[in-house]
Amino acid sequence: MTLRKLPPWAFTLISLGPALALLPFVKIVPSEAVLFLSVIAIIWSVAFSCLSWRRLDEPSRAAHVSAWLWGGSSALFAILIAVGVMRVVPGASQPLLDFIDAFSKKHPVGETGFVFGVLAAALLQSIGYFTAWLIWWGKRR
Amino acid sequence: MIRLSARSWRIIAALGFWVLIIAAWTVGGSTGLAIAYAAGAWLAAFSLQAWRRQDEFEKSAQKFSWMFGGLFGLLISLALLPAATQPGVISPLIGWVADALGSPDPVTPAFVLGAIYIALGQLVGFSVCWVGWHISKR
Repeated sequence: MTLRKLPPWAFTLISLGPALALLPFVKIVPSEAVLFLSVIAIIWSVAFSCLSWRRLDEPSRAAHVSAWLWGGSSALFAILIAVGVMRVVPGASQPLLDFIDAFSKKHPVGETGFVFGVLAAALLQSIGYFTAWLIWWGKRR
Repeated sequence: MIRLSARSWRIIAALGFWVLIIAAWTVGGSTGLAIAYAAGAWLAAFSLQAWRRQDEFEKSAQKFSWMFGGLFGLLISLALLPAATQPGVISPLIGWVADALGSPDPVTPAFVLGAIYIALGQLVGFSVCWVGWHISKR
């Protein structure tokens, strides 16, 4: 099967490949190399996501748009509420502190906390998006 | 029932949100956080009112902008992480957020800043795409 004949979901999987392949090596590879490879993985992901989008039919596109609007934005609200809880509830940030400490001792705590905040927001948005996408298709089946 | 236009609801949502956020920043601490939550609730409630009043043309603009502008904003924010995490850039910002939150530990302000960074990146991407969408459709 040539690349042109692949279905949209195959392009989505190809788009995620480099980013997922990089994950096990994050702690082994030097930070500068991880950052460089991350940027390449993002460019790869954008390119193949665009190819996937072009092959989608209208209902599938509507599902993605609706899922990102409602699932993505709700999750973004949720993470902003969660970070407030960390401030109010005594000891709520301790598990995060412990995790960051265990993850990397060579990086400053503030810098690592910032990156974890970024990744947590992006991850929660992806979960919100995926949940809304499943609900969208569930309602129409 | 008040019959305001979608634009009026949007202006109410945005003005109220930013006034409350400035108030939250000024007050700081737990009270400031409560005001920030109120700002979020205000924005959500009045944005939903605006959404209900919008026609399909405007809804399409917002959906398209949130999908593509928001996603590109997110990806650009991730790509700019190496620049954003430079000590000269991030340390003063974390200090600024830590002062506002009155947080005793260094992680919470950094984590909050990371989440806000992602939200702002998407907001900028959304705004650029929304303006571009309207210009291209005129």
